[in-house]
Amino acid sequence: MSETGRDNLKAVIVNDLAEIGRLSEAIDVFIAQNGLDRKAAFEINLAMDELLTNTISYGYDDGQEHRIGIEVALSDGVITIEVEDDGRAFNPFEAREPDLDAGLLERPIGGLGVHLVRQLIDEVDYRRTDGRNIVTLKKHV
Amino acid sequence: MLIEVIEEQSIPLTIVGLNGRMDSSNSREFEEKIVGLIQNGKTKMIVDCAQLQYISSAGLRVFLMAAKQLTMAKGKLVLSSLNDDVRQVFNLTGFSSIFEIRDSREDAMKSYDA
Repeated sequence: MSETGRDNLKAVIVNDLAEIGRLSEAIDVFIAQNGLDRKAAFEINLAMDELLTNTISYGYDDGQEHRIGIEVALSDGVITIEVEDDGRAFNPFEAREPDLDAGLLERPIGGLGVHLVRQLIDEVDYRRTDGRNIVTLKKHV
Repeated sequence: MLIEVIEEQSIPLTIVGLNGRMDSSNSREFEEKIVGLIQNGKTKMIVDCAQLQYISSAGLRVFLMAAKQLTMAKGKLVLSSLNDDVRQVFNLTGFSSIFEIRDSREDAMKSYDA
């Protein structure tokens, strides 16, 4: 369920992990239509995958279907993505950074998703407005 | 994602070939497969990533868990043939320095010769 303009993409997905792959196909098309590097598509899709996996896996506790809105816009060499959901209040960017120097047996399982988002995206922001989580990502392309 | 398991009798070791995308929608399948192999005593393992197109942290989680279990069982996990995208994810998470990674399945097999 998406609509692609030349320099913007609006999509709505439901809280089902299988939706993430479908969104990535729409983002691939958007990146290609704008003549941008395939690597940018990979990096944006991975960041979105990590954030949406968290939201879909842990954001809801009522077993109901929920909608997550995604808007992608390209302007002056910057891709801005806004993700809006009605899950429980959660700021992903408060998570502690993992210790990348720990050895194999000392490495905790998990905690790498948000780290990847920070590595792949230039600016991240979170706000809670009217009972909704709004995450904004900006990436220079 | 397709998962292919080959038992290499000569060394002996187990080669797991991954094909496709590994993300939160299917990493559980890989986890069940690899944990089952380890529980069946397969402690010398290669995961061939030549056909693995994409990995998210959900997949990294399974690799880390498997490597820990194999190390504690006095075995090891060797990865081979990571594409550029998958290699970037390993680099960004520090996994490149905690995993043994070889350029090809043949090189990975040679790492068991010694």
